[in-house]
Amino acid sequence: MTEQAIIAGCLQNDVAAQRELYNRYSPKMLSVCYRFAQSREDGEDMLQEGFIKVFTQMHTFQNKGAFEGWIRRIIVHTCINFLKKHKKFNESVDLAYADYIQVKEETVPSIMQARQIIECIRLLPLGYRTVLNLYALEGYSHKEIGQMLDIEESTSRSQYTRAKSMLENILIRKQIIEQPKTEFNWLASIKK
Amino acid sequence: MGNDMYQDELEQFLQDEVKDHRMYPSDKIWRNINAEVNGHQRWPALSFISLFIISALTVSTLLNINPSQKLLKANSLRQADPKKLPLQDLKHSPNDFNATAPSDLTANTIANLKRKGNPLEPDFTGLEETPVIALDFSKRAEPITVLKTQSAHSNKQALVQETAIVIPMGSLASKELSIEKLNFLAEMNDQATMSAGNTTTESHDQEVVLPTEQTVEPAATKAIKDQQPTDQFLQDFAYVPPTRIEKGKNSKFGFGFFITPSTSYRRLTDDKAKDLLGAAPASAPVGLNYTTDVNSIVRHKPAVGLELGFAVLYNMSNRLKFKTGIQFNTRQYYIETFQASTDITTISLVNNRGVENMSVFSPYNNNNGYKSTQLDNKMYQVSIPIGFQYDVIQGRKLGITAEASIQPTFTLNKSLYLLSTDYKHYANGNSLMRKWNINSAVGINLTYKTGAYQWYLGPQARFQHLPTYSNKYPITEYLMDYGIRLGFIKQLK
Repeated sequence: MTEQAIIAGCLQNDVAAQRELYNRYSPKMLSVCYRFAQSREDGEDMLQEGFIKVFTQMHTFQNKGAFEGWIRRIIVHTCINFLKKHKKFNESVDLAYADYIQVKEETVPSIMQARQIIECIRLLPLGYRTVLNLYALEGYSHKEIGQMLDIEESTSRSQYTRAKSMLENILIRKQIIEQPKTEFNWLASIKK
Repeated sequence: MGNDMYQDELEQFLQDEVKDHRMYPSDKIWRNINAEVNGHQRWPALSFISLFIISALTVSTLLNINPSQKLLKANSLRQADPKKLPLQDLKHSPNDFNATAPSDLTANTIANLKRKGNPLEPDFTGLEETPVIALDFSKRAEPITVLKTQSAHSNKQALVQETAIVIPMGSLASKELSIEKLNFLAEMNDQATMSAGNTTTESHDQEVVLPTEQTVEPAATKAIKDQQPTDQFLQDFAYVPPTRIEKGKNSKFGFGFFITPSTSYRRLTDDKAKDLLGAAPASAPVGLNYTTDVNSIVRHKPAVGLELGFAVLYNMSNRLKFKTGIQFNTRQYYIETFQASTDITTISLVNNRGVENMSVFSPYNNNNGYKSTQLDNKMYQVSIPIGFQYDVIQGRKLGITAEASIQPTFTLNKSLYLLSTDYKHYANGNSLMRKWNINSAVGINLTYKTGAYQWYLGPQARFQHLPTYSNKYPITEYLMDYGIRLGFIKQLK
């Protein structure tokens, strides 16, 4: 089934088309939700809310950009709203806190690197994690992040800087990346 | 979303590694979304069970009306006429004959006795008739008139004719009446009949003091005290004084047999497979099908199974019974697939060490082949149901019981095919079969008593709580049986 056929089917409330859309995009979107969420259950709740919005707001899709991008934006906004609604933000964590985060071995399954990295991201405090997810992985600017999270643009920048530093420490301690010898040899230091 | 210019190496690294990562949600999420977007699906079985319960309740209620309720209904009709007295439950009151037969001798009957007229053709002209209880007039029935004190405020008596109270000629009660009393009653009856012939309402206002209860009661009381229904009338109506009923004390134990034709369904979940294997395409032969729900890939059809059992019951209370026994089960379902050239396929097993792949031969392909075929996944099981049965409604004949049990189950023999990890093949799965399992069953039955046996019939559902295969196999299968149970229970003496 082509993407256009899926969209047309969903606009007519065709369950088969909706199922196809869900099957096609839900795995990626759950991964997005999981990065924002405190637990897998929260992630699934976000996914559920997000897809309900996708199906009910399908008529607002105007074929101007990628369909996946449109779905992704809805899912990300749903995640942010979910976190706001459940007051799970914990802002202004000091950078020094990163040194005391215990990276528990058992919390990071040794299945694959992507999953390990996601688990490392999830070790960050929620505020840091959200900014990092939005900026580094979802491509939002600090201005947009500030509007989404109701914070100053500068706050978003500072949080991102701290989040990045904290994540770097965690990844090094998990031996996913090596301690960089110079400032600019990041990619070369990635463990294969 | 314009931060592309500021991407550094860490961001690039994260994007490369994480952006295409997939996680597979449980099927429950889709069901919730579907229910939210398209409304809840109706479950036909629920409608069927509801209809069955409502029908059973209606039938059992209609067939088990307590006779005292009929009297209440009659009394409520009589209340419209304040001159009438409430009727009594002649059949179930312990003082049936004290309350009715002696005092309800009618002047009409006595007049008939005196005149030796035909008792089966009484003269009701001008008298009000009110049916009291349905007795068979073809059996020596004689209509009588009841004399009762009507009003506590006035010193009058009313003559009210009641049609169905019968005292046969030559009965014990009638023999007790002296000739003087009979004459007196006959005169009174004549007066009352004349009055009634003029104006019916006046006949109700006439009041006569008749000490009938004092005169007749001793005879009836004697009859009750004797507890011997020697009178043909009493024998005809099978009257047995309640105090004389000596029931043998039943044992608290009973036993029964049952048979349940059923159909088996299954539900597959592959969350574990998707989580552990889907994320590691290099270590497991994951197919394209992994993005879809496993239930939409397999094609299975329910097949007829059977449960056959022996049950032992212990009465814990009047309504609650402990129930156990032994039960043999055959449960099966068909898998539609294709016969293909024998191929090597992989079954991935998940254990503490990680993922292990097991290569097996398979002549069956889920997607294509040279002919379609049907695999029969069949199991023979023995189980020990342990549960309770509760009598929701206890009628004289009909009733409704609900039962629930938990069933440790051992699989005796099996012939099973399981899905390979790439969802493309079916392979022999006997070695991964779980020997012991736990099932539970619930059911509701319509019961019918015939002598010492209680037969029952009703829908039953049985659920398997542990997956069919061992925990190593990442696709979990749960079986459900729906059937109709027929059986009987015999209470031991």
